[in-house]
Amino acid sequence: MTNPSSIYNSINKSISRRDFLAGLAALGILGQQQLEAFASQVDPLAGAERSILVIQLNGGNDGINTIIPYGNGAYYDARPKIAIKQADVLHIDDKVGFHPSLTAFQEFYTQGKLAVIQGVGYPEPNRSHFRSIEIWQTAQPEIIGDTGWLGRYLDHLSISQSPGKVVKASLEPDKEKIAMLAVNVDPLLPKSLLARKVAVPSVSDVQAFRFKVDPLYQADRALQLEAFNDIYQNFDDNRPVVKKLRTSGLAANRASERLLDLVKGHKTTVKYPDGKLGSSLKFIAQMVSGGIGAKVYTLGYDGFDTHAGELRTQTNLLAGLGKSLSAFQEDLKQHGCDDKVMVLVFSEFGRRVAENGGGGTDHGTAGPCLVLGGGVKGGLYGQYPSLTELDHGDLKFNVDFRTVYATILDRWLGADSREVLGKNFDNLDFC
Amino acid sequence: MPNKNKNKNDQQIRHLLNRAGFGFTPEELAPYLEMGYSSALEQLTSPSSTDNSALDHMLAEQSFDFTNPDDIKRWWLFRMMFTRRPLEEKMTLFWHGHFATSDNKVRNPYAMYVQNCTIRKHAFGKFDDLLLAMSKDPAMIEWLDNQQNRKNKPNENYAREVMELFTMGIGNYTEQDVKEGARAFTGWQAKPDGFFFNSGQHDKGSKTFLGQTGNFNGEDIVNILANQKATGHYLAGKLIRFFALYNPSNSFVDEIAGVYKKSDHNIGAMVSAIFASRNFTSTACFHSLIKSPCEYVVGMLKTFQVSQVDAEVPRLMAAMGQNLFNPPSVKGWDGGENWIASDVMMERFNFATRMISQKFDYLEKYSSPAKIAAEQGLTSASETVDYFLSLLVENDAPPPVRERLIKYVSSDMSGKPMTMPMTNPMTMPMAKPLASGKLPEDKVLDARLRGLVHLIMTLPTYQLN
Repeated sequence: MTNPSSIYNSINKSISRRDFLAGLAALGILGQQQLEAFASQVDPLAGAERSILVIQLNGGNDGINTIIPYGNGAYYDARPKIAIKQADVLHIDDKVGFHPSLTAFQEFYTQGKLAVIQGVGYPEPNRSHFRSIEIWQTAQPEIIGDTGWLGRYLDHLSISQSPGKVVKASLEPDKEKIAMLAVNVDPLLPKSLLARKVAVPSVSDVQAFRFKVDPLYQADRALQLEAFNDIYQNFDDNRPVVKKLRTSGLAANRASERLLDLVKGHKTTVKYPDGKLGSSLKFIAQMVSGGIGAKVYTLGYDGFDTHAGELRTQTNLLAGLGKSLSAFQEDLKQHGCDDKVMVLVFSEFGRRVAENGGGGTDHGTAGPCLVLGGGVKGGLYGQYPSLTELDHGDLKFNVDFRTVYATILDRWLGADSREVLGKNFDNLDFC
Repeated sequence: MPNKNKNKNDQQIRHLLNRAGFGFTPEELAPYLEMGYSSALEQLTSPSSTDNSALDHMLAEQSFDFTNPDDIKRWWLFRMMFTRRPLEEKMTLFWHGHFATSDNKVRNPYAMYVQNCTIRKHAFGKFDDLLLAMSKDPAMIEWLDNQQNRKNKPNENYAREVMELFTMGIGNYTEQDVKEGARAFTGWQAKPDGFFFNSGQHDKGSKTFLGQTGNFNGEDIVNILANQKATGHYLAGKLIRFFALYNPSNSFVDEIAGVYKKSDHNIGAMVSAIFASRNFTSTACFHSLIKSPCEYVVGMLKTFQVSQVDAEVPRLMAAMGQNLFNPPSVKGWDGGENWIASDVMMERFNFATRMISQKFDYLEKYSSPAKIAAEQGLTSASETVDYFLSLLVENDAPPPVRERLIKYVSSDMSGKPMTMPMTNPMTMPMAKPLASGKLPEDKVLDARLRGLVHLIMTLPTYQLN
């Protein structure tokens, strides 16, 4: 049985935009000028004020208990202890529904701004957290990549914005405001943002993010900062590690001045949930509404490695995710920005179909991706993987995660996904 | 010429103490300089031969509450600060990052403390013993859910990570090995008083693990894993990257992996071989690693001979990316470039500020650079800059940086060069005219010296070990 809505929304398998344009050009339908305009981006304004926020659910979120196949008896057979009762599931259709703690997501879905992409994964799934995270972040399952998919996007962006200048600019004095292409709102930079030409600042606590001097000698701050900047710009040394330190130190002070200014100016009546996720999302809303101009924000949300005691842990985590994103959407709306940010939520893998001995689940494979925002065409995408035709007890993926990336790059950010992902991936229709 | 050699030897001993420990106070350094590199290495790698009772007394006086999550952090920082066996603490930190267990999930500081003591006990011994002890460690059992690993309902968490992260590394086993390994560890549980073998929950059936078949239990798996060639290699690479070089040559890794095999899996022998290697004493190794927050903080406290670890220090280290007893994941701290993301870098700069600020009254015991300048009899801006560059970065800064620091330290609060001859309020009157730059007056001088030391501690090379 095929779900009609999933046919409607299924992967656009026809031909890619690039191939289509090449075809038109070959037929002489498009002139060179038109072709260039089209090839660069179909909508010339696409991506201009848009950004993507990528939230990584660390530890391997159990996708089966997130988007629950409650219409399938095999689900209840495989999980006698941890299956969610049919009556508790928040129905999407007569087959699947949200985890009961995801009321916010059900609301997003009803409003038509949430795309649920089912069965996302990649060939030859790796069940190591760290390798699988690396695969998702680099979008290079076949090799150990040293740049991230978002980093490569930023590299392309920086070339098209100021050809040939970027490398140098990163070590030059910041007299004007330098646009921050991306901000990571975590203590550690994810591999997804590793780039060749762009250094991305990581800022997890903006209030603490300030170059401080002895409080009794505040007057000295400007002099110290001036000396610091001179020193960091002129620290002539060939060691790569010194270069990295210089880049990072300069980026830190530059970002700090800019971000503190911006946060001061932001007002909202929205109350975010306590905790790191809420405060991080608030900070991102401040950056978006303050017009910082970043194209990419990244954020991690920990605790999904539910080998034991899954019900309680996942319920709390998903409730936190829903409430925080709900506040975030509301805050953006108050500032007229809710259609400018697209949120992608993913996890490095889903979990085993059958529960284990500890009321939990072991590492698995495919899982759902959630895409949220005013610019999203809501709905169900992709097919829910079979719960009985398994690969070593795990789901077989139906949607390659790179098609999700490609869709965001091509359609939302107005980039060329082939440049970023190294080859052509079909687009989905969620935006 | 002999002088030059002595300088070089002394520098190598400081390099050794920075890597094998957490920096040094002048008193700690002196005997090592006296005994020379090879004796220093021998002493460091055989910790049990060094009397550490002074530390024990000091710890007893602090009366730590080992069920308090903050106290166990301060307890360990005290150890790092005041131990006479620095490599013992450094190895314990290495293994804490290797068998990375987080109280965030375990929620039992006392179990974390017990694990830390177990690690310290086995830190230099036979790897098999350490691996077995960790496999039976209550905090580990809770951390990787082996408590829930039962017959007919195995939980794969421990079996996977023991191969991926603790012994061989990824790519050396199959998914089937994970499943079979998990069966062997079924029934390995913890009780409040320690390890407990729940034989009713142990799967006594036959398993095929890494090509061998038998009715294996956890001990057998530990034994098989410790004897894999991949394990020696994996540990060698990890030890080298922690203690010596980010990108070691294959031959260096092979050499240390060879020591693992020859020494019957002796960790102390591997570490000794790393520190004795030319790869370690070469110029390329000096200042090639980025200091971890532990090294940055404890090293700074030692340099300025601070006698306290105030309650805020563990939290500040966490903000720098190293929350002791709470590594970010079972992979531990990745280290290297991960220590210098922009906001953690800012936290480092601000820790240095805190270190030299006078505002923080209770930190009175922290340093006053003006006092140091007085003790050292520093009378000119250039002398002062040279002294602190040597003390803090072993002069690893290009000449324009030195010039810029002199300019900073000889300017008044509005940034203009000072014109008046001056007096250091904490020292004697200036004896001679200043050749290059002048030290400014009283308060301004105090501010300048604090600022100078702060700036040096923000230098790229101060972040290096």
